Amino acid sequence: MADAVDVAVLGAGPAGMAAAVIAANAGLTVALLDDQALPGGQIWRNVEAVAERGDLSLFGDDYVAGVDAVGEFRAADVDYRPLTRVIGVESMGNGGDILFVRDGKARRLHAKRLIIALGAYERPMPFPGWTLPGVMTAGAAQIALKTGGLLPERPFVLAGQGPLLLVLAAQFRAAGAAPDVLLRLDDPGLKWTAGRHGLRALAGLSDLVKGLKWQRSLSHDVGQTIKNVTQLEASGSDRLEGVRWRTADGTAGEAESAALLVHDGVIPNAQLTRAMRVPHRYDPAAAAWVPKANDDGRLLNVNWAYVAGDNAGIHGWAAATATGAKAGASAALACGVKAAPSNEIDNRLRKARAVRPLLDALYPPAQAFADIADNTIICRCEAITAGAVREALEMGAQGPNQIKAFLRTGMGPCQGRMCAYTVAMLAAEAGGKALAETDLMRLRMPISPVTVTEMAHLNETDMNLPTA
Amino acid sequence: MFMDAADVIVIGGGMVGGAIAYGLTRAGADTLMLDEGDDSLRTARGNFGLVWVQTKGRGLQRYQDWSRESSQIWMEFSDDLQESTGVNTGYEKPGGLTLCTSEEEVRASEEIITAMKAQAGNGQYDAWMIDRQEIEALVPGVRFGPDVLAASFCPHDGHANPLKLLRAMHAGLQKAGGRYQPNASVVDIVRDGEGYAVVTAEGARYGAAKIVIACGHGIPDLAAKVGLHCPTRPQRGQILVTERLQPMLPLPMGSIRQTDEGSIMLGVSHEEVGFDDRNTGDVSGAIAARAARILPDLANVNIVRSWGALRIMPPDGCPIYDESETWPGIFMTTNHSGVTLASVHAKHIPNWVLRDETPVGFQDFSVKRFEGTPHAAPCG
Amino acid sequence: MLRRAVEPEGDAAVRLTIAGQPVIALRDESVATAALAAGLQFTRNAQVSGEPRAPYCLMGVCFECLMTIDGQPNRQACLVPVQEGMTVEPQLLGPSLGVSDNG
Repeated sequence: MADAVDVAVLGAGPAGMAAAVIAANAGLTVALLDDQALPGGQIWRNVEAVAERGDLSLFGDDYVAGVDAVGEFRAADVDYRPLTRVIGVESMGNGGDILFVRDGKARRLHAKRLIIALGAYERPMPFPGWTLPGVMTAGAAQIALKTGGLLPERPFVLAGQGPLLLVLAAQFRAAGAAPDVLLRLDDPGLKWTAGRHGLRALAGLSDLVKGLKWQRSLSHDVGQTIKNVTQLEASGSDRLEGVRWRTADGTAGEAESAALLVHDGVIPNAQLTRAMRVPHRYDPAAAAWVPKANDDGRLLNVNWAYVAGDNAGIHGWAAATATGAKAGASAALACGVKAAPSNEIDNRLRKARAVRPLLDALYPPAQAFADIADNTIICRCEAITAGAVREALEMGAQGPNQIKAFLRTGMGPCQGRMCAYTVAMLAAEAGGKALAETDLMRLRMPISPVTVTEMAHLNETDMNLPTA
Repeated sequence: MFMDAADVIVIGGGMVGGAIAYGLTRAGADTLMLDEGDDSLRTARGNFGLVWVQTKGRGLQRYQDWSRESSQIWMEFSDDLQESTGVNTGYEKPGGLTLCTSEEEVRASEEIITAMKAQAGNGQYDAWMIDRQEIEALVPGVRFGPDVLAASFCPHDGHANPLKLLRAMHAGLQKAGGRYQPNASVVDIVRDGEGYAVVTAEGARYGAAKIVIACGHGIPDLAAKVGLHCPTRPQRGQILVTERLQPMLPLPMGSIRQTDEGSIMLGVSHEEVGFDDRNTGDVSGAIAARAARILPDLANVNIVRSWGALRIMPPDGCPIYDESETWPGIFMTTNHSGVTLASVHAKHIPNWVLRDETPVGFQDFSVKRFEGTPHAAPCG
Repeated sequence: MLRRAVEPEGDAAVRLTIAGQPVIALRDESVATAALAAGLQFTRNAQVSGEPRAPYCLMGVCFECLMTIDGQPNRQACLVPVQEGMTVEPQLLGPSLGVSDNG
């Protein structure tokens, strides 16, 4: 019997769960696929167990909101498939197939409508020494805290920029592990020039106030805070031992370190939409490529699929639940049933999005890292340096695809998740082009590794290949 | 008004254009190679890497001879490239196998050998059938599945890293003083005084006395403008690539080979789907199933990526090399074995282009061989 | 680089072997965090350059946490929940055809 549903949802974060709940409550058959073992995505990672442990207060109201959201999801009539890796999507006449791997087999799930809510991940921030054991993203440390109750070892250095940086510092502080050194790659003075976004941001004022409150309170507990850091370097023989930095005015500093956590904002996880050949556009304010889609999230050239949540553009969890609900409602309508009222969803969305332009102006991506030292490894999988990429560009490589062909950037298991942005930046820099005119390297299915045996299960038609 | 002029313009910077431009530059011609942008179809980025002789040229003995000659001079070609550019193509010639996983496939392989021997006139065709024991002796330490019954072996077969080859040819061209112009999509060729001019979509104009049209899928349209007919069609091939493994497969097999980086390439399909170069679940599944039948120990090995490429397929599978009669000095060169033929392309095509020294038997490769068939040039 | 604040006990404890050492992990955590909590300083050697690597993202996008889990090489340890009795080894070399690094 073919595996088929009305609506397939990819991702069990705020957007995915909201979409699945709306569609299921409207009476449609819904399956939700996610690669983690438990629902919640990244922001509500392990929220059920943390609630059980009684540790919710460590993480603040945004996290607590996950308890109800996950509860509602669990209660809805959704075919929830955890530990499931999506490897590709194929369009057909009426909808299409989602190709996924679960329990040792690659399989097809047919759906009339597809909602892609695969969220976001931390923007890779290459600098000399970033591949040393002991250097990780702040988000990784947060996951370790939520799922394993782990804390960074001291001396602990936290470096980066963006609204989440201060949230994270506060969470570590609340857990009893405030950073010994906080390196801010941003300029707090920029805050005041963001005034022109102020009016629209009033709609999301509570988020903003929260952020600023954290900012003030943190200064009491962090060992050292250095502002305007423009260069960063991690050192050590087999693992991280120390961190060196330089600020905009040339002042150098260094500290011993057993854990260096870095954060430079987050970017949409566009691996699947790119592999589906959905056109993407570069959003300079967010410094990220986002899939081109309509207001309700419908993808521009895949008319049976939608994108929702941070996967569509970084707007935070509240907007994600709203865009997920909106996509779910649209998908339901397309399947012939009416879901929840739309103006309620639209209001939520407007409020959540309003604060974004202000945040983007307050926290632009770290400009210092646009000028990456030649000896910095930028493709971690294949150990390729920025210098090698610049050399290939000088030899006439036109862009990321040719660079990949010449140097193997993007050919490792991560398929460019860590290096695609950097390669595009270097290509744009060499060609004197804006990033908006640069495309990221091409992707294909499978977007995640699949074993030969797992893949062989897709051979349902027992297709016979000619020998040569 | 020219942006640039050269003795020879090579249109296309892929396997064929790259080899010819490299050869032309080394032969002393002032060469300009034009190439498209980063996102063009580029069959050159989708090569399996075989330098293959067995089964080539059934119906056209010249092609078998051409492929065999290529294998004989490939090592020297690779060494030259390495010497001038430092890039090692990783070429090896351990011989190659076409595995037979059914009685039908065994019979088909035997039949090809018989036919090729007969075609060779003097009976010289260096491929023969080997049995399972002999296969195991050639590939020690590797477990073959029970389906593997026999194989055809050819000592001239080998493989190289196609991306390194492309990179080396590009570098070699420039090191020898040749010029490379990317982001140049040629849309027209016009007469210009005693010579010709090439016009690009980007608004540039390049002049030359001689032009080699070697731009793969773009050849039919351009060739038609200069009185040449090019009846090629796209044919999709999909390949799966595994994670890097310890070296285990010393011999390339027709559709399974281990690269110099350790990853194993698994192939391959032959699909008539027009210009659609996507990968599909059905074919990926079929390739994986076949690979697991042939090498059961691949079961838990990860496939980390895939690619699909569109072969440039002439009607009989054999190359087409021709010079325009109405636009003398304009040549077209097309085939689907750009890696195998890179060495002879670099060595012989320049003489043909520059000095009118037609390689031996080259008239067999002319597009005129399709006259009287459905693939002949249209009348009028 | 990361340390356990409170040791898992009772129902919340899962026993497994990492790099030959018995380890007590927290139920539902990933093999990657269990390995780091147990003091493992690296999960693998980089395939091309050979130097030690450890998790960077812990959410499945960096592929640095590749380890051999229950004999199967190159699995992303951050996507595998700990199970009682599991055997986990760092991925030191590229896997061999059909033979795990454990022989």
